[in-house]
Amino acid sequence: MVADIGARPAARRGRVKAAGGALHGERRRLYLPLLLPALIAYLLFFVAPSIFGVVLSFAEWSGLGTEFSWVGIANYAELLSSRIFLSSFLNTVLLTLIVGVALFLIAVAAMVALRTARAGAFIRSAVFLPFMISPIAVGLAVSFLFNPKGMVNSVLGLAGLDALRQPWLGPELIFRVIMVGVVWSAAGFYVVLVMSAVDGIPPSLYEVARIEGASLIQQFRYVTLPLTRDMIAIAAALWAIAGIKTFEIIIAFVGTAGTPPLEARTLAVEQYLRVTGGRVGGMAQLGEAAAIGVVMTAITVALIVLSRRIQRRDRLEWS
Amino acid sequence: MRNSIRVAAVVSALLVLSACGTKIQGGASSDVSSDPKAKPLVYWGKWAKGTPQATLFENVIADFTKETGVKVDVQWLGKAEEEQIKNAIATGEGPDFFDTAIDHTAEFRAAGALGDMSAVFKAKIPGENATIEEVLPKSVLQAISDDKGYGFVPHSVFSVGLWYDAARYPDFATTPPKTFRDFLTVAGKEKDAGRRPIALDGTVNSYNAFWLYQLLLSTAGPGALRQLAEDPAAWDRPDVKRAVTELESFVKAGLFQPDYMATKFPDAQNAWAAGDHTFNLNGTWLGSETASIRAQAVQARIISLPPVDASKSSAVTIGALGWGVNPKSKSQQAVSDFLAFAMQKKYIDRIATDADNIPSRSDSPAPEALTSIQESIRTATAVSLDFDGVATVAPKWFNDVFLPLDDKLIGGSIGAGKFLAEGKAQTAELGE
Repeated sequence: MVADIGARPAARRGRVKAAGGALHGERRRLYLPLLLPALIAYLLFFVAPSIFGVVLSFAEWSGLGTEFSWVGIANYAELLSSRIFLSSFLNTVLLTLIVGVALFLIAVAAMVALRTARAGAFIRSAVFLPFMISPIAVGLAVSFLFNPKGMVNSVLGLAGLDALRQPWLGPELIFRVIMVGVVWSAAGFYVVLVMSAVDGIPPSLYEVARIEGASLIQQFRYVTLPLTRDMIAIAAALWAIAGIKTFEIIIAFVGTAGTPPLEARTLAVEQYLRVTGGRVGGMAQLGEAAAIGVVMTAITVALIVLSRRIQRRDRLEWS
Repeated sequence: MRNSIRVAAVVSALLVLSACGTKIQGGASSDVSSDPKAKPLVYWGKWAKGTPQATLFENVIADFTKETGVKVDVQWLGKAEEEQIKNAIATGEGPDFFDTAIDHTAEFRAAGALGDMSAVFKAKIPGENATIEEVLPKSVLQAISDDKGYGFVPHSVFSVGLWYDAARYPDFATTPPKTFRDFLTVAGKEKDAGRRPIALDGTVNSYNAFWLYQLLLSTAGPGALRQLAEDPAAWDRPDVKRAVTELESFVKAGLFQPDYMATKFPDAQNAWAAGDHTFNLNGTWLGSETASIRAQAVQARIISLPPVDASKSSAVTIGALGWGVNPKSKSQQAVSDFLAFAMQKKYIDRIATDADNIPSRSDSPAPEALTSIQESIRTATAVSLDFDGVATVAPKWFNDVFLPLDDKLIGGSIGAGKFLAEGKAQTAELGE
């Protein structure tokens, strides 16, 4: 029913070899001219700025027209000894992990429940909707809901649950509320992503499982999970990238009139504050901002590698 | 076939490369010919089209062109224009003049985007027997200057003060509370009557910091905050401790609206405008920002925050918006002529009547709500920039040390002692 397809690449290599000869030579001559425009664009717009970013992380600079000076690894040393940077680093990791777990649980629930639910397609569309809305709009809307006089506290008051009314946007709770907003905003995308893999599983596999007496949870454990593992790994990698970069929704929560409190700062927010010099026309610290960018990239790569390692097994396919 | 592919590849590469060379803005000033009328002056502004300021400046431009024949090509770039201007001037593509503010003088100076403005300030205003320098209050001239001279020509000025409802306190304009403690007593009476008197959008940390900064100005004078940023020992000064202790007592009095530290901007200022609260320590812009939603019964007025000691008046905080001149512009004389033209009283008066802000000229009256602060600016002997200009020259300290600690102090989660100890330790840590 489910087969290991680890031997397939050899067959593919055989097909490539068989396609040699005159046609193959002609293809090789076409290769470079066709590749060149994309390669130039890639080098100019991605590789060169990336290298410049890394180089900048070893310098002190406030932008065009200002003095540029090399500082070696001082920016990295400054970051590692900075209480603020370490706090935003911790916030970023916490947000990525906690929201990641929440998204995984929602995706699992969707894989179990939506496959057989009568209104599955509708529910899928409904949960996807928040993902289509700009994070700025989501942040603004959610923050007004959680305002002291907002809907959340009003509903709690009407329900007689006054003891549960809280200053949600205060320094103690704001980060948790932001995480709720991120889950609400991002869940739909990951549900749709994993459900697209679930949709590809032949119904006959579930029929056999049912005939053999498997419960919904067992069907998930022995059919859905093994056949969607690759998609879950992709989703985890995509979330790692998005989680580390969480930015707009926080700015929307805090608004454009102030700077985010330490409790709500992520690495991307910290980088933004250094790029802009804050909200009151401060001098940009582009070297430190670039160093934060390098650290963010390193964390993202580490998380992706980690998630791939955890998920690494021979690819399975139904037959 | 092969040739056509080569041609396609070359064309694609050229398109990519030409995109890289796209100018931010055409018609740069660097190639203006010796005749100033040959090419228009280029002006980059930050106002959105249709705003009172944009409309006023477009009127000025039209009148200037009609009178002199010199065209001005204006482009409204929106709020984030500063970065574009700095980059464009650094690459020789910048405008001849542009919108700027005191907050941006340091960064524009560092980027070489501001030059010597002394000749501009000596320019005679058409139809008036006065120069630009002569029509501006000395306090404003001081505020817009740094160690290299004047930064820009100001058209609007701002300050920070205590907004109140004159319908409830009609005598505040003539006999305001003498001291900060007197103000506390007034506000305390409102609280005793079951009303939270002061509105604060606590999620805006710079608004929270207005309280401590204005108290510091009163006890320690201008420059005290800058010393706190630069010298850990300054945290031990008795006048600094006095300001912090005053704020601690004020917070303990519970005069802000409930859950003020969690209030999403602009909820609190809107509630103030609706008449739910009486006071709001804020910028002079609050009046125009809330004009459209203000309750009819509310008469919004602003005064300086009463000083801690009645015998020691506070310095006045001054901010300003105006026009900076590109030092690389080859049309310096034409720019100078335009700015002198724009500074005519008939135009600067409209900063008050059209835009509801305080005009920069001494002889241009402010809107009624702002007259008290304008008088303070006109007569000020000591001035301070917003937060002593620390936010622009020491942004890391301001954003990472001062504002977070101030949030804790005004939020009531730490007291004066811990605030001072933490501030000293973190300033020392940042300076290492």
